[in-house]
Amino acid sequence: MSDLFINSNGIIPQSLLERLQAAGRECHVLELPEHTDGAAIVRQHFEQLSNEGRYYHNIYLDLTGGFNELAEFTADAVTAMQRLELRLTEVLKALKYGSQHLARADGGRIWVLCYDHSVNYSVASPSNPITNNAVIAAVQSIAKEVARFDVSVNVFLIHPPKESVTNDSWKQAKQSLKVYGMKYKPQPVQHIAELLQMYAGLKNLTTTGGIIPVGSGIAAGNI
Amino acid sequence: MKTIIVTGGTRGIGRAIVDMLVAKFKQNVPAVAQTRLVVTYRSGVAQADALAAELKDLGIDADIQQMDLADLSSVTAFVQHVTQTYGKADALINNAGMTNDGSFLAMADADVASLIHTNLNGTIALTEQMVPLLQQAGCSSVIFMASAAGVYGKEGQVPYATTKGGIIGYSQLLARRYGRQRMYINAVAPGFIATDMVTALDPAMFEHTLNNASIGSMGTPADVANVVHSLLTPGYIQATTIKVDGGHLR
Repeated sequence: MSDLFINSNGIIPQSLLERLQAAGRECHVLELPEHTDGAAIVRQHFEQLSNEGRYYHNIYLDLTGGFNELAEFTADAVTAMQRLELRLTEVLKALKYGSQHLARADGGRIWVLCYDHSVNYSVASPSNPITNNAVIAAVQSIAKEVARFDVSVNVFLIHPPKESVTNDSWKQAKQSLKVYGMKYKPQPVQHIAELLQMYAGLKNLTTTGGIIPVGSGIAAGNI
Repeated sequence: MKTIIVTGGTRGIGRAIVDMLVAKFKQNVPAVAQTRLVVTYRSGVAQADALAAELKDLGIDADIQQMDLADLSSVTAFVQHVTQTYGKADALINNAGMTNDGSFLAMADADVASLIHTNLNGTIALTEQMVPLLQQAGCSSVIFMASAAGVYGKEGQVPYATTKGGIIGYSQLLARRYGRQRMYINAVAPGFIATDMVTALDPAMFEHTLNNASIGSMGTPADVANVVHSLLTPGYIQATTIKVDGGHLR
């Protein structure tokens, strides 16, 4: 049994990947370049593995990189809309193929990694409320369908790590970060990866269809 | 004169919204003369004609237009019509949508893609093109018809729930962009509502759903329409999704 990363360029999946490999876990990476039929790449990959009788246990789908809806819709809504449609269609298909793959095995886990879009109110970080809310609804729905195959599907809604935002930004946002929730404490990416690794390593996972906020204070997933 | 647009307004919840608006206009007689309704439909010509005749008899200034969210040229043509005819929009009620239900793992990729294209992309395309007309009104409302499935997920409706979750996210994004321009942007998430599609079902198919709501019964299209009406009045409700689900699991 091994793990698959669908896209791994972000600092969070990279850090998690390194930790898992250092712990002796066999990990594979499938990069889906933009402007390609990413879903077809995913489907072919799973078909090939299934033919060989090999199956993954954890599948990580990284959505933390490459898109910032708030900025892109503000700049050029038409282009952003086209990108969004392609991206969400690809994500849904990847979730479907991944669920089918794990269902053919003895079950497994799918983890979707998203940045918490609400942090963008305070510091410059990717804000993808459309993708996040869509993926959350998808995961909640799929989880109900595939639980009978012992497949769990969850979303991590992650505050951006300390390394992805300049220190000055955190200081400038000091006041706004106190609003309603506790003051946001930037977390090193290593600490975030440690938490994700802990979830993935649980022998008996009792969470599916979950939206797991990773960060201190208010996360959009809790509102 | 105010212009209120209701997409998919000739049947189901959309029709209930139109009926509710008409009832409110009649309660406040000057409103009848001060508001015009622009209602879209996709393919039900007979229902559209019946609604047009009904509204005409009631003295309501109504404009019934064909528009298909899945066809971006149709969306653009509709917006051009509103631009040229009225020059502004005071409210856009994004009700139109479709569903493809069934087991997600067995669902054809084309059915997944068509839902995203129509429900999400089509709604966003319409709204983005309508923004200048909403800004022209000075103070405006945009209301999205989401779904409880988009809030807490639903088995058998994965792509539909995804698009409705996306609509909720889009309402938040739009509010980030235009909330300070007196544009009030919210979503409504109906739960189990007694539309003609539902009432034809065997009660055994949905009793368990009703038992999971504290009210214990189905809602009506009018229940949803009343919430939509309340959101047409500017206030402090913004970027919110109001669940009209009888207290599901609460």
